[in-house]
Amino acid sequence: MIEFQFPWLLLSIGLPLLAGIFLTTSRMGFATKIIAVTSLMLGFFAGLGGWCEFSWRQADVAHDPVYGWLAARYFPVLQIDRFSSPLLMLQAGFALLTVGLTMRTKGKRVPYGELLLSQSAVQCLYCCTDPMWLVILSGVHLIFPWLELKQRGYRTRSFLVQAGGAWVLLGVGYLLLRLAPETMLGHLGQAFLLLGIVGRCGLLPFHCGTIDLFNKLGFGTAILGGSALLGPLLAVRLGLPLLPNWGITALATVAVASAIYGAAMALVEAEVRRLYCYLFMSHTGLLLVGLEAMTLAGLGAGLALWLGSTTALVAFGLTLRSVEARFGRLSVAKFQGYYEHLPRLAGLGLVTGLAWIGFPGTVSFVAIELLADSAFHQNRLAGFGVVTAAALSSIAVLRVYFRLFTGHRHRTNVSVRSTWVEDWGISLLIVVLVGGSLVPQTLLVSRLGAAEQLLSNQSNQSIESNGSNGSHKSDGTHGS
Amino acid sequence: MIDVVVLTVVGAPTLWLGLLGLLLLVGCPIRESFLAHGTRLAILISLGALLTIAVPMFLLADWSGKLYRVGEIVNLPASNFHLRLEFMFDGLSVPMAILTHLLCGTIAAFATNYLHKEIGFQRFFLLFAMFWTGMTLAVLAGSIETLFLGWELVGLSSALLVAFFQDRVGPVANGLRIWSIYRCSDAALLLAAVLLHHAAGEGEFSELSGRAGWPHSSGALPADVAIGAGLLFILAAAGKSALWPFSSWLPRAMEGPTPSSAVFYGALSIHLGAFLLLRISPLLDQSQLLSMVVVGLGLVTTLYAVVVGRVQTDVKSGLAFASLTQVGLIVVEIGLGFRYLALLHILGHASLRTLQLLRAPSLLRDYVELGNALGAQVNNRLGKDGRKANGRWFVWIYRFGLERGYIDVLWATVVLRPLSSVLRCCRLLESEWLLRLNGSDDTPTKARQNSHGLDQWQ
Repeated sequence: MIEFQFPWLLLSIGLPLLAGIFLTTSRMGFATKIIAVTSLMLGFFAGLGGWCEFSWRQADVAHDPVYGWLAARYFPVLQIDRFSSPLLMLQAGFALLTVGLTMRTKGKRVPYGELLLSQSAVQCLYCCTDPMWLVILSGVHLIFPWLELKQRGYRTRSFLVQAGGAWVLLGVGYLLLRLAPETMLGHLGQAFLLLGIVGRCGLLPFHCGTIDLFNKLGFGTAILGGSALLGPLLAVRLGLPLLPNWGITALATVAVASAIYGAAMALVEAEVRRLYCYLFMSHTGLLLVGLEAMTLAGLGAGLALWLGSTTALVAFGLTLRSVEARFGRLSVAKFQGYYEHLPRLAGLGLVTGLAWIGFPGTVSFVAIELLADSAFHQNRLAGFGVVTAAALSSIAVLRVYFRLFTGHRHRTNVSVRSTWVEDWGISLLIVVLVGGSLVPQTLLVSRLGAAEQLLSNQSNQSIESNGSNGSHKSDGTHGS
Repeated sequence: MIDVVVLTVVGAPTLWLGLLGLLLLVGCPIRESFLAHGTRLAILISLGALLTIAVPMFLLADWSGKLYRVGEIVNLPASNFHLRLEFMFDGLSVPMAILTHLLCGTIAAFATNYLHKEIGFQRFFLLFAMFWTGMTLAVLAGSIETLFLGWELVGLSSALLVAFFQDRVGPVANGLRIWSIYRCSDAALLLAAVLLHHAAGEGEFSELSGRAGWPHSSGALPADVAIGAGLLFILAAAGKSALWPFSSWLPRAMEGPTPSSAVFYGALSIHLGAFLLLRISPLLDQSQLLSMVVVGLGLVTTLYAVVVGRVQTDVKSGLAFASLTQVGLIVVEIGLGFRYLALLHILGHASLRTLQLLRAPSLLRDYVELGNALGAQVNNRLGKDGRKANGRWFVWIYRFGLERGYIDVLWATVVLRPLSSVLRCCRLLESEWLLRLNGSDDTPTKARQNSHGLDQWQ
């Protein structure tokens, strides 16, 4: 473990936190967005700085220097490893783009303060490796969507049942595992933990709450909440070390089924928000197939998809959000024909959508091939499922493009052209997506390094667990 | 030196595509003349480089094949995974690549005038560059991964060019249908690639088919893997070449502009499936079952296309089914082991069909000119055939042809409707569950208040 030269983590968490507290407690009017963008930009640069120093010093784990005098015993609480170092920067970038691309007309409806606080909680979760703190922080993160639902006047029961229920299961499962690891209660704890992770990921059959949430929240908040991928994060941090083989297998099976189901449902869904949520569900499923493959290649492919495909999916979502900001809630039940007004957004939407499913020339191309390969090695049906989900998703993406932008000429008396901020913001992500495809080896080697670290951590914890309490993995350990 | 030449062959289309994509991404206005001259120049450069490889091969009569490794995209020895950009220059790929370049150059020149001042001129040339790049990569591919790369580019450009006239619903719906079939075909190809990786640890064609070179090589895979991978390859080829039962997309693809119809569905794209079968011919040699499947598929496709093609009322659909008839015959030839014949058939048929499709928009004018030259009206022989069609079974065949073999109905009944019903049922269940969870009225409080207010006002 190394100590950073500069408190990158504290800054990347603290700046949005301070700005969020400030914005929720005061009315700033037109300056609200400026403050939010500035704090997120600084947070992003802090994340970038942390990642650069981490990579430059070739560290395995790193923490801030400030903790030396703050409290030495809290070292393990906030630290980044190979897995989370790029994610911290990436998530800050997503938040910056989401807030930055918010149209002025929609500014009043966006709860900037809560959004910054939520972002701070997400950053904190990425910097956290301690299981107990992960459970607590994931609970804290739930407050912000709940508050926004309340503010918008929606009922919150489905959200509380799904997300709240998943959190309770996670907490109870972890406590049972910790208190009585070898008993029947411990096994029950593992089952609870598995259900909690599935619920938090929004996989089958606990996906309805997530879809409802996407439908009711602001599109920007929904994109940010989805892109944080807290469910998969919990699967990596809690599921990999604590779940037994049967749990991992069950999670992978549910993930494959969810990936196919999400992609298939996106083919018949008419409302764009719900459709996007199904695509996210499929994406989460694909990620988890890789993460739960328990091989170096599978885990590395899952982590590479986490970076590449998530970026593409967020860019796709931001494009849809920009279109929605002009024409209201979007439907793909019939052809809308917006191409004439938004030719660049149409092109950007198509490229980002295709980049998500790993089209040649984009960053995820190799990752999706590696994922299919490793899933096939693990289980032929899983490999078939991955390929099927990718094929169905690509059909859904082109369907969205055709239905929104073509088939009709939309007439309007006012200009609805995209702004330069939108064009350049999304173009920047496309440059990242296409530029990343030029250096796939670097990306994959970095993600395989992270995968190696996760697998070695997992086997260490397993050995510790065997040494102290006897193994909770009665059916063997997962080899890489 | 030779590496530079190979790089030029594949680099020219790739760079041209990248340049056009970049210019359109930054919103730079592009002049028609720049697009037209640039495309022609890029094709000439690439063709020139290709000929420097092809001419010595032709003079020395050495078609055994050389594999050029341009670069290693990914190499992960710990995970036993690598992705290489490899190109094969042999008796199969070089003629196909030359044909691709010649026809693309012809079509680029034709489209410059044909689409002059068209709103989507830039879009056409961007997609055309994507198609050309995809075809070049696919036909010169030395490994399945490289083939897959080109295969996907061809698929996307095809679907988007079918939907070129995007203000109308018809072309767009047809574009989506074609994309759906192409994606199934892509999925089969990807699975085949994964299966071969799994079995042989390699995706190179030379490794899979021995060192003898095409078409004399023999398969070196275990029988079960050969059959599994072979069937997946046949499925991929069937989707791409519109073989039965995927044939229904071909006439729909004619919704696109004539230049793209000519180069895609008359000349190059439609033969890509047949090309794939030629490329994996060592696998076919290894298994009689696979050869029989290929022959059967080709025969059924030919019969189907002959029957349906006879009753088409528009020239582009008629040409589409005429193409399909020939593709079916080519597939039969491949299944029977006549590899060189199949290759020659592809080259000849692609050239002829391009010419026919390019003349299709001016067919009536051609008839008038022909009539003027002859001094009498040109006879329409279809009328004579029509008078023969009065038997009961003949009427049935006529109806079968008119309904395009009921393939659309078959797909809708067997696959699409059941799948759609299941998914809609799932959607209903989800909605019902959410309704129960949230209560019957889940509109926002403010909206509810507004609604009540309106009720009172009324």
